[in-house]
Amino acid sequence: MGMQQNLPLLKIEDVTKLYHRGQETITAIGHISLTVQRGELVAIVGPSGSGKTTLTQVIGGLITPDQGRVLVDGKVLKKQSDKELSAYRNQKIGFVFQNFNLIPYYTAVENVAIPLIIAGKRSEERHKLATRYLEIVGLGNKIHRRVNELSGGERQRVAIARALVNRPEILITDEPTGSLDSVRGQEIMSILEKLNAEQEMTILMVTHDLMLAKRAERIIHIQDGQLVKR
Amino acid sequence: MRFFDYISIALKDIRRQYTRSLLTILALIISTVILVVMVAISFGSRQAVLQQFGSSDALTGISVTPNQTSGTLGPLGDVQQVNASASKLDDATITKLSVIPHVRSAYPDTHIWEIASFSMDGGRGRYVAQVNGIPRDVSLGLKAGTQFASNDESNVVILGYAYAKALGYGNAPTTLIGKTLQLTTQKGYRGIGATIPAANATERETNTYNQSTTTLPVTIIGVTDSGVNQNSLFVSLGWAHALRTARYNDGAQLKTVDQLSNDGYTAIQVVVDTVSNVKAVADAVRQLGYGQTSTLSQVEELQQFTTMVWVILGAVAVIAIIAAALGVVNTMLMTVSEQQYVIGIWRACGARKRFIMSLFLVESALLGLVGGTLGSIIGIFIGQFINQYSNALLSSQGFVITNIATVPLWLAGGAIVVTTAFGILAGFYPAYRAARQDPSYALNGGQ
Repeated sequence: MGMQQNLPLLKIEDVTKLYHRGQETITAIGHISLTVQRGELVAIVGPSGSGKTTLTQVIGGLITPDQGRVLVDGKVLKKQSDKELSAYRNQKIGFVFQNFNLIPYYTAVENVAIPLIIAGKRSEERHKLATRYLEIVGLGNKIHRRVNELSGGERQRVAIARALVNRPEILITDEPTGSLDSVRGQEIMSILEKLNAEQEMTILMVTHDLMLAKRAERIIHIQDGQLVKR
Repeated sequence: MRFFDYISIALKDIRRQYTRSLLTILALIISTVILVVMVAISFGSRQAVLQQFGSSDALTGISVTPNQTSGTLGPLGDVQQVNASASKLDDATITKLSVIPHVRSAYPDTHIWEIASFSMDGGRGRYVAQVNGIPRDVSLGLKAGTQFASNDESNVVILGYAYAKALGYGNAPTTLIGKTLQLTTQKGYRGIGATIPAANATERETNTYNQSTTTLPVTIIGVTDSGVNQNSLFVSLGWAHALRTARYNDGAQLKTVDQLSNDGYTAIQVVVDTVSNVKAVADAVRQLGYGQTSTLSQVEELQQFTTMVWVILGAVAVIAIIAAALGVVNTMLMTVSEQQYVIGIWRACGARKRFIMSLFLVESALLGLVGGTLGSIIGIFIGQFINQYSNALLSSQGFVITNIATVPLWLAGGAIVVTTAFGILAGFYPAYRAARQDPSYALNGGQ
């Protein structure tokens, strides 16, 4: 346990991800190395197309890098089986996507319960937990609404509740306030700060909003797929 | 992940694409109905063949004929060739046949050619008579009345049920007992009951007699059941001899010719102890130099025919199910294509490839299960409708009422299993495609 506490939670070593479009090869991220400690709130900033989302998807085990490796608690993600990688995404990581990625014909509570279904939780327990997390994000009165009937801000909060419901160690948020007005954006940011402070949750926050990024403990700049030192 | 969660998720997706799912299920229902009805008709017709030929007692009978190639009455049967040196069937033949192992009894079957037609006192119409003489100990299977009191009982008949129905007594055969029939002979009949020309009759008187018929009154003592004997009139063997004995006044002497003894019996009916021994006995009869036909062989030929029908109808049903299964493949492929984004969400939230595959397999299995179940239920109803219609038709034609379409429990259950299995098979490739999608690629809707 002590050994694990000393290890960085996340270590990225010389990671490169390439995309192929016809004959053309595009480097989404190239030779990126960074370390994230347990309980850090890190902002990843950069212009559109700079590779921010690719970096978070590599960290989240959604994309396998072409080169380099990602270590979580000292374990290499690339070497893990489908079972281990799926368990990692289900238990260790919580994703809040830029475009929410909710199932439109499911209700708010059904969307939040998705990671719990995969984890094999019983129906009553799922409903109880999903409802609690929807209440935390302020949607306790709309749990049975279909998400396509909710506003952008409400959908964002459903996505946050879903990311948190399995109590992950790492929360990855991609433009968490991107589609919200400033008031709603501040609300979401406050929720993230509270989670970081009270539960020591490690948060990686992708944003191009520098004002928001300044509220993080550390800012990582990325441009053209490379880390930029400022 | 719990099993009922798979079902719940799959049902949500089926509801999402309501019209498409409904059409796919409809195709499965139609194919299952075809499967159930086709197999039910094939199965039912096989059973109907057995029922039409009566009980297993009837199947143990062999009809021994003079030395002829054995032909059959089945749809695929061949013709019979008469052998000029055919052995006569007489009491000595009965003795020979009786000692064949597994033969329970052997009795003569005689056709009384001399009787041409009959009518009933107070009845309507005149009917062509097919009259047979049989010993009293032969059990005909009666719907009403009794067997003959003795082998020589005269002027009494057992009426075939088909005649009873034609006379309007199909529903009340018992009321026919004791009624009188008038049997009309062929012209120039010289058997019992005929007033033959005197010894000194002129040629003109004799010629006139030869152009006249005789009427023989008989009392009905029994009515057969609706089995194989329903199209005949039966008289006692002794009286059959008397009917077939021609008399001539030759000077002062009355000469008689027992044509039944001269010609021999039309056939000898052999009763075998069990159905399984019929073939062996038939072979033994053939080795003795006689021809033979058995109800069993006719039934077997008919069953071969119905099996052929079964194979054809079954093939039609399987083709229908394959067509419906292709519909399931199409539906599931479209679902996978449309649901890439959802697959990506499940994968991003930690779902394994196996989970995604199972999810789509459960969905296609559910389509098969619902289609199969509804199709089986509708098939059962259609089967009952066919039975009602065919029974009314069979009844009006004088056949035994039987179910043409039989839907046993195993058929209904089997159809559901087959349709569900086809659903799973049809869903396998789309499910495999869904499972192997890269989560990030799927999240971007396949871009």
